[in-house]
Amino acid sequence: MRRLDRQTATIGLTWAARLSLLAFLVTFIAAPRARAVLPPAPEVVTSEPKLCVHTRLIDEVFEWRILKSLEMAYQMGAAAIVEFFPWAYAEDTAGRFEWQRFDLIMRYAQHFNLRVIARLGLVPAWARESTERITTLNTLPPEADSAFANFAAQFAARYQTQVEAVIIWNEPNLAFEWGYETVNPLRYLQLMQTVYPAVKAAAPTVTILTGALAPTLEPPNSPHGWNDLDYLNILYENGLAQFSDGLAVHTYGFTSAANEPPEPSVLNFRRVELLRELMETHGAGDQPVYITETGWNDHPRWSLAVSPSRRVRYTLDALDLANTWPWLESLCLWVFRMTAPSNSYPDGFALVTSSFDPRPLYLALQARAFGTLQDELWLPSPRAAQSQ
Amino acid sequence: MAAFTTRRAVAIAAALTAAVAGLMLALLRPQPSSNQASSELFLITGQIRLGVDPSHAPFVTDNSGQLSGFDVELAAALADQIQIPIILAVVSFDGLFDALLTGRVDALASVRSDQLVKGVSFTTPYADAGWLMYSFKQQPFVNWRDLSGHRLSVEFASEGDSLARLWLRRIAPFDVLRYETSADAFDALLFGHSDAALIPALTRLPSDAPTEDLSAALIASVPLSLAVREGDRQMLTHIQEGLAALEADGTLATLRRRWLGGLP
Repeated sequence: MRRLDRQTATIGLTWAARLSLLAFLVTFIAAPRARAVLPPAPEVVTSEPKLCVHTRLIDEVFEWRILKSLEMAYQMGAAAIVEFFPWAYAEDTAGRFEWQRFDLIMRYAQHFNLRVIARLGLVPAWARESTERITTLNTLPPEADSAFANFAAQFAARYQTQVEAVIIWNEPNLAFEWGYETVNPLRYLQLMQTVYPAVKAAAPTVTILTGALAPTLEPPNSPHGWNDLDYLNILYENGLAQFSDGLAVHTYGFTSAANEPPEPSVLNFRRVELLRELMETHGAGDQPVYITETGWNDHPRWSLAVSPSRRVRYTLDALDLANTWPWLESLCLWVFRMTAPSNSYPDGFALVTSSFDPRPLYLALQARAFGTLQDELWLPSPRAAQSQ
Repeated sequence: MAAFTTRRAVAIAAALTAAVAGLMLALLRPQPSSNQASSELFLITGQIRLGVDPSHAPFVTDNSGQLSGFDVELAAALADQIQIPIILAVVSFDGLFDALLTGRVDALASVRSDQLVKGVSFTTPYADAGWLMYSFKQQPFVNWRDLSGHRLSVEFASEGDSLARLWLRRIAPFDVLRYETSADAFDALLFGHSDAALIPALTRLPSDAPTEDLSAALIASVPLSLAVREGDRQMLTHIQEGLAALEADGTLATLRRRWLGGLP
């Protein structure tokens, strides 16, 4: 057999490297992403200007699904959306902003004449590093407040023609939303005192909303959260009205009808009226309220759900009530569509399935928004009619 | 420097390529869950802790701490059959699978088995919470494609309503009569307002329903099974054999008649 020299060895190693590179590149082969084609600009205007949906677009991988979601929201008659714009996504590295994903959502929302209410939160890792204990994406050390304010200001300035309002943080009366820190209304007020002047200076026309509180009856010093009425009262007693243009509210109906009267000890849809009373008591009566999460759930296995027919009835009644409240700007239903089914009770909140099939509530709201809803949603009981 | 042969050079190249490819495959391969509970725990404890959801009537209801329902009686019958004590453990619906996977319970009763859950194995289904289309035997409807030109009653906004809307896009038109409840939709059939009623399989029929004259066709299936951790093969075998025996001797049929809806 012929003996080979160093050159042959080099050739063998070169081919090994080439084949390895080829094998490596093969692992990257994937189907091309579907491109989104912008449909014609809409012409029909909804008759329900307060009707709004909370979307979940930021975690959507495919662009066409973002477009399809917004198109269906518009076709349902929604006038606005609430969407989450995470700080951690925009400023993964301190001082370096990446707006591409946000731009996409804003551009498509604007195409369908959907007003955008932007919820801001989620802390990047670099802003959490100074804390000594384990952190979560909701951990915000006080020394990071100014960095968050800077992000909020940059966001508001960039999107001031598309965004109607920004919501500062989410459900600050829950320990979970503070990285399991002890809930403290004065800590949240400290954040608002930093964020408000920064955003106002950057985008004076954008409305700055106090983060919606979780509807909860948790007492003070609970490890989980703090009663929303008590928490808001403390915020206003300490001057919140100077550092906020309005209030975002989460109010769920659970198993109660929309028109069930409010009670401090009861969690129901009209709890928003109690929050509103606090605003008026503390001199913030000229500021608007945005209900940024509400709705009923019709999952057959959840103990806090209602039947599908009642879900539709209660939601339409809630819209009727919303139209009688001059202080309310928007009624945003949780949730328009989940990116993927959870196969659990959260699916019972969706208006559209993950595969874009409209659920009956979607169709009922669409009929309401475009004036084709029948007076009676269902036929009278045959047994009752028989016995008469 | 050692000399190389052509064959040796090719062999080295192939070996290096295979090694790199193998390394990449190993890196891409999903890693097993590290928090999976220890398997076959019931062999040590000598009992099976069965997770049940007390809000899942008629499978389980909680009357001041007293559990009753299909699952409760199934657990008792199964324990007798396989000669292993079964202890009921109350778990909320949204925590069922977490309780199983973290080892808080060893099995779950009456959970959907048509949706894959990572790390979970299911027994053969023993009940169905899907959708039945009822009609009279003299004019039976066993397939939704036969509905064209007829009248179908459903609960407004229900899954049955969604199915009817879907079918309307696929076959010649039929009338959809929407009622507030599934009970009303069924009554519409009884009182001659509709030709067929599409309602949940677990709907309990009214006492005046002429069950011997009715036909029921399963239109959409939601199979319910017992679930165990994927690694608990011995327990799965025990339970599966026990359920088969209970099916064979008519115990399961009796429990279904006693607690669940549908025709006798």
